[in-house]
Amino acid sequence: MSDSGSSMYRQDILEHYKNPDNFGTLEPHTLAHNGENPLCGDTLEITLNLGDDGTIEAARFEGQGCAISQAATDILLGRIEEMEADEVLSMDEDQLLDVLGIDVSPLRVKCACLPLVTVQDGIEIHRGTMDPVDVTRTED
Amino acid sequence: MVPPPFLILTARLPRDPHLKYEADPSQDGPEVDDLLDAELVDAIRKDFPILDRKMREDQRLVYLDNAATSQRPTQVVEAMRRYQQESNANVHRGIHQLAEEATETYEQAHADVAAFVGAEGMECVAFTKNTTEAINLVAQGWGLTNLEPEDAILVTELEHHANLVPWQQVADRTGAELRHVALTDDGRLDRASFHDQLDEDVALLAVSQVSNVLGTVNPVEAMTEAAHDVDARVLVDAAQSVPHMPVDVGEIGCDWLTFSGHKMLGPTGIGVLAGRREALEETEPLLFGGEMIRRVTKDEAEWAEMPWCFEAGTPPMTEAVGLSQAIDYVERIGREAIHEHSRELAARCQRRLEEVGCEVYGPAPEHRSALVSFNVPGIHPHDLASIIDDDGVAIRAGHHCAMPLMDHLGVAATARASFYIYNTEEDIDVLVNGIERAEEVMSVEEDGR
Repeated sequence: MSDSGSSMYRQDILEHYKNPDNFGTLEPHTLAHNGENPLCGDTLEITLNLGDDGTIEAARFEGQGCAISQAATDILLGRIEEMEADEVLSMDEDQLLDVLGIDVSPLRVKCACLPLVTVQDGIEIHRGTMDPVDVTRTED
Repeated sequence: MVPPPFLILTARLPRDPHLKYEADPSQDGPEVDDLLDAELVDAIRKDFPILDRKMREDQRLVYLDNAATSQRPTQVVEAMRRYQQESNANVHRGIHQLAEEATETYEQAHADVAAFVGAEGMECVAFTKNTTEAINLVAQGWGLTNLEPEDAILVTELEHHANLVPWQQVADRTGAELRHVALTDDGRLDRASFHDQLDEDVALLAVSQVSNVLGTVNPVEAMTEAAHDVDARVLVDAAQSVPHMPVDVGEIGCDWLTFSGHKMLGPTGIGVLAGRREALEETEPLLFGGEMIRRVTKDEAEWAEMPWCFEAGTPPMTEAVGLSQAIDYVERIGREAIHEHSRELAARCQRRLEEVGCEVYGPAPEHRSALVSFNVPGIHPHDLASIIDDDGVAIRAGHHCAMPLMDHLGVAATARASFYIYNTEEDIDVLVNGIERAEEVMSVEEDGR
C-alpha cells in the first residue's frame, strides 16, 4: 500500500470518475442491484445482462460518491464484460485492486470494493444462492 | 509498629512548573475575537510533542480534527505516567499507604471536575467510559425507569448519534414518543419548533450545547428554563462545549451534563456525568458489581453513596489523574480565552473557505463555536481528505455520527476542520492551499455525464 493519498488520483482514474465509459442503465436487463457505502454515502445502481451461457454481456451503473468508488465501478464493469459470472464471483479484494492498478490507501479500500461486492450480490441474488437484499452495504 | 498510614491530603500530583503561562487575574478578559497571544501559542505548542512529528514526506502536522479528539500535553501524559509508576493502587479498598494515596487522588479528581463545571460537589460527578456511556447511564438509569407511553422525549435534529440513539431505544422500550426540534436554514435550532413541541407531555429534553457538525452554540440555559417550566428533565451533552467555553451546571440549570476527557486535552477512557443532586438521586446505576455497593447479602445489595454507586468495578484511576491535569491546563489558559481563540480561528477559516468557493454549513460566526463543516464543489470530502492528507493536514470527512443532520443538509458527507489552543492562522493557510491543490489534482474536464 502506498503511503500517499494523492497517488490514488491518477489521471486515468479521474478520467473514469469524470467521464465514465459504462454510465447508464440497461433496459431491458437481466438483473439490477444497488450498493451503498454508508460511511461515505457512496451509492451505486448496477444493471447487468447475462447471456444464456452465464457470460456477462453488458454492465452499466449509475451512482454518486467519491472518485475512488465511482472510478472503481467504471473500471470493474469494463473489465467484467465478456467474463463468466462465476469468474466474477471468485474475484477477491486483491484481484480488484490489481484491476484498478492503483495503491488504494487502507481507509479507502471499502470505497474501491463497493462495486465488486454489489455485482457479486446481484448475481447471487439473481441465481437464488443468496437471500434477496434491497441494497448491498459495506460495513463501516 | 508502623504508624497508621498518613492520609496525604495533597496526594494530587503537583502542578507542572514548566507550563510558562499563568493567567493574570488582574487583567480584563481577552478582547472579543482575539486569538491567543502568539508567544503563548508557541509555548503551548511545545507542550504537544506530536505537533513536531513529521507526516508523510516531512510535512508539518496540521491537526484540525480536534472535535474528534484533541491532542494531549506533556503535563497530562507525565501526570499519568507518574501515577502509574509511583502511586498506583486500587482505590476505596486497600488499607495501605498506596491505596490511601490513590483513593485521595481519585476523589480529588471528582472534586476538580465538580469545580470545573460548577457541580454542587464531588458526589455530583460520576466518571464513565466516555460521553456515550454517560448519556446511556441517564437513558437507562432514569429514562427506562421513569418514562411511560404518554410521555415524550424531545431531542434535536443536530444531535450526535450518542445523544439520539439511546433515546430512540428508551422511546422504543417505554412507548414514549420521540420528538425532534427542527433546524433553521442556517443550522440553528428553530425556536418556534422548540416551543411548539415543548408541551406538558415532554418529560425529558436532551440537547447538545454545541453541534459537532455545524458548531452551532445552542441556548441551553433558556431551553432548560423552558423545559423546567413544563416539569421536564434536561440532559445537556457538553462534549463539544466543555473543551472550549465556560460551562456551569448551576448556571445552565440542567439536570445532567455529560462530556469526555479526550476532547479537552485529557485521556481517552474517561467521561463525566455531572448533574444536580436531585436528578442524580433519581438515576439508577447502569452497571452493577464491586465498588458500587455498600453491603451485599446472598440475595440483594445496597448501593454505595453517590457518585460511587455509578462507578461499578475498578474505575479509570489513571485517566482521572490525566483529566484532572487537563483541567488544570485548560484553566491556566482560561476558557474565555480559549473560546475566543478557537472561535476566531473558525470564523477566519469560514471566511477563507467561502473566498475560495467552498460551501460552508452552519450559522454565522456569532452563533458558532470552534469548527467549520464545508464541501468543495465537485470533490467528495473523502477525496479531499485523502489528498490534503499528503500536505500533513488532518481533517475529518464523513457524516460525523450525525446522519439525520446530513439528511437535513441534503449531503451524504461533509469535510470538517475543528480548532483548539495550539492551532494558528498558518494552519488555515495550509488547509486552503491544500484545497486549491486538491482542485488541481481532481481537475479533469467533464465531457457530459
